Amino acid sequence: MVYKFLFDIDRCIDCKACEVACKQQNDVEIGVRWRRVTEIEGGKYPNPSRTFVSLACFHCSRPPCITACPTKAIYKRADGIVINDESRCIGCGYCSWACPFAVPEYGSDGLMQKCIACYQRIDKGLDPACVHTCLTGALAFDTPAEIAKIQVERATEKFIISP
Amino acid sequence: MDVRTDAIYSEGRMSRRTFSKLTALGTAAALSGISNVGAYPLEHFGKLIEPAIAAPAEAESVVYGICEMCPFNCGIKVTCDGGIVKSIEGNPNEPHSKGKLCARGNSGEQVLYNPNRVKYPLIRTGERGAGGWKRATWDEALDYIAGKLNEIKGNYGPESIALIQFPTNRMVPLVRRFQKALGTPNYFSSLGTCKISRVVADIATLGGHILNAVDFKNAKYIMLFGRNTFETPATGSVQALSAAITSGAKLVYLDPRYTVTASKADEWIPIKPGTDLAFVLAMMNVIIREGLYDEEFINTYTYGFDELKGFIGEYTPEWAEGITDVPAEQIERIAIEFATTKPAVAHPNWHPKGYESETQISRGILILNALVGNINKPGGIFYPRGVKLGDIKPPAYPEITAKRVDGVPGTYPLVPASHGLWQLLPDAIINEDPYPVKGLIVYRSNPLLGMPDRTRIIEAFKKLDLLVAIDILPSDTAWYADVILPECTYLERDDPPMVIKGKSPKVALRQQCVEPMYDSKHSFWIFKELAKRIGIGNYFDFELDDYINAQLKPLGIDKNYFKENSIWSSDISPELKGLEGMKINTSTGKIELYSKKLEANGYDPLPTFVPPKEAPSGMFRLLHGHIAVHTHANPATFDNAYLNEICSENELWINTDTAMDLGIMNGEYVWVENELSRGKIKAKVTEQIRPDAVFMLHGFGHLSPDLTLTYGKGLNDNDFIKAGADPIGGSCPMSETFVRIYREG
Ligand code: SF4
Ligand code: SF4
Repeated sequence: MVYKFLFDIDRCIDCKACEVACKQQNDVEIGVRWRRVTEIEGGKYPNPSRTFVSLACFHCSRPPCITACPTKAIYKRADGIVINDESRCIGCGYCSWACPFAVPEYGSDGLMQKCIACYQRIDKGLDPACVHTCLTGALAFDTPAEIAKIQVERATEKFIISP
Repeated sequence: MDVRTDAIYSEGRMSRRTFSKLTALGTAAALSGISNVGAYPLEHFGKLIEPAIAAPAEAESVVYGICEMCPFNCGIKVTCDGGIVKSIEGNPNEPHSKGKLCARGNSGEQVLYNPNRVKYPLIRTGERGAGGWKRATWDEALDYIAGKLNEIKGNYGPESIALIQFPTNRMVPLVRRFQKALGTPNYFSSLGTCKISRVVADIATLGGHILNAVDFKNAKYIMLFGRNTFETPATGSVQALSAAITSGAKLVYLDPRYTVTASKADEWIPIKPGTDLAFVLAMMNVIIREGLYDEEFINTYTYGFDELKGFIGEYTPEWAEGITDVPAEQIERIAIEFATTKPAVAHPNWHPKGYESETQISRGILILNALVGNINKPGGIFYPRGVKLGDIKPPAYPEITAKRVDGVPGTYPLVPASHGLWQLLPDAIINEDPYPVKGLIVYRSNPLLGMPDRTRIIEAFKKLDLLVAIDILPSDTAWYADVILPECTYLERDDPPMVIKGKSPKVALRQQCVEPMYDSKHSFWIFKELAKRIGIGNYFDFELDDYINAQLKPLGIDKNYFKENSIWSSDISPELKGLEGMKINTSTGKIELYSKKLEANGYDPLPTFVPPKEAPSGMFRLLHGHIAVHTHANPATFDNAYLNEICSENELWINTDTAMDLGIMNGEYVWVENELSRGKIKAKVTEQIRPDAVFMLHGFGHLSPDLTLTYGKGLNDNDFIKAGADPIGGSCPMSETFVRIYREG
């Protein structure tokens, strides 16, 4: 069984509760963000658009960061969570180059940091802190089957609402 | 794939976390200014380190409390470990948060462990605002304040001492007790720059203030008149509105700015600022003309429909088009959709502080809801239910004969004296009109940034013989004070209980999670000690626990109840069953479309549209508002490492075409100027605002250098705003503000 994040772009309201819950849970230093909400602006007045995207590590099934890491500091748990072991990290930054989303970031100590999906909470049967606090249900962390179920449900709802 | 099972972070991260918090405590002692008077007493520091390192994992404890990062006061669940707060999450049993907190709620530890906290009582040594302080013992500081208070009282009478307090402090009843015992009428909350006109509109129309009681979740059609729900995030409203949208409710949102809430709406209407009432009146016109109102409801529960009907005829959608910039057909269509989609609801607004006719704007929206009969029904606005708490009866108060200095109730007969109009206080102090105010006690409120016209406020402060700030962080107001008294945070104290009004009322208790840091104290202790010293100690002849227990007594519980239970729930059914059998507290016993109360006080009993001021040529209307990560002018969010990282500076939103005309580039610093002030701010050139208005976030431009994270960043909207009041409800017309914008040089 593996876990993945779900992010629902329709629901996200840019409230940044997820970012701060992550900081609080993992004591992430200022300047580094394991989860980050960004805004994409578009359109032309009076028809502008704003889209918000909350991203963290994707916990890829074939993580390029693991392949790139020369010291095997990054590894994957049986449940799919990708973790970097800071005690092995030499701070070369290859993982960040290899990651299509540049997820691993340098900490002020020169070593890499990234989202660890709050695996201590997962081990207790809890959701990651970001998911736990998300007020709109824009985030979920679950098995691919469960995520597919949520997505299909939501898509169906939309279809019913506006055929 | 390399699979390991070792739990590197469970140890590593935790000890790092504890370490960083303790480092924060350590460095606090090395900073300058307010936060650095003397060194941090090592015996306290040691006490914090020892348990943090020695405590076994089992020492984890959970305490249920109440968040205080904003006025909504969500229930929280705090996990502590060895005397250190480890995490703050929502209380799953509390009806608003339901276990989920906003960004501010999640950042609470950054207030508790903020090295900039005020650590000891401080007495000013140099000029006001120059930053010279001497560390005092509590006795010295309290004796000093008491001496001054007695002197002022002797020279000018007790009315010459005013008090300001943030209106959702749980200590409100006890601070009011202090005020009444002292014998001054001059008590203020910040509602004058917030929702006071809405409170008055509710009382005049519905017979009582219904708070934020809008049942979004069950509504099928929702209208928000600038109510930016997603960026002033009450956790309950956010969850309910989001749920309504995802289950297919239509959201119509009116605002000159394309806010986050606008971006989630089905229809965004960039209405001309200050003309919402014209839009609402035209909707009523259509609904009445087409006979789409709920006749039975109108006949049974409302007063003055015939008067309204006669009045509304001239307010056609065509009339409104010329005023609002919204096509008549669109208004007409929305009116029909609103009246025919059941249930439909229009939020009666929360921060009506833009224009002089705010009371009538709020009344207009309330009447709109009444026309479709959607009051106290699922998916409508409703009368929230509460429970009555007990009290410790105070001895008789001295008679207060002096009038208030803000013209409440003389000039403003409908404004509740429990809030007053704080924005009018600086002028009263400066002009000594109707008499001198010489002492001001500000308890966890920041008028110097939260009230309009900062230059004027500083001028007023200069006329005071005593300015006391009781606060956690060295706010702007504290920076100008004569004495600063350090209060402990919401994580370090118990507080009087809170009734959570709603469909079915609940009661929550703020409970202490960790020991107060430094020499900070509970405000109960502070007021009690002050009371003793000025001869009114008999009004505080009890301990805080006694008061909490007395308040809880009618519920048949005491404080200990909350050790086992995270919340107290009443057995009142949450069902909304209309108005049958309900007592409506107006003079007619009905919802007053035509307000007898307004009529009796010489105001317009019907919501006549009053146009907003026109911008002078070459100037733009300055709008202000909020973002989800900050609260008003509260340093707790601005001088907060987690929230400051997300939003550390405000920008001036300028429409792309307007910026092009002015030759302004995105990201450059531009001048903002009017008759009150001039300052520089970063331009955000955007498609998300009307071309005739500019916008900046409220709460920036802090003056206190000891708020090291936020000091010197951004511009204060209030520098450009004049103090004034809606003649009926009293809200300050803050959006009747015009500024010139120009580039460097
Ligand atoms: S908490 Fe949820 S809604 Fe808020 S920013 Fe994060 S993903 Fe978006
Ligand atoms: S809305 Fe946010 S800041 Fe306000 S009380 Fe709730 S969690 Fe705290």
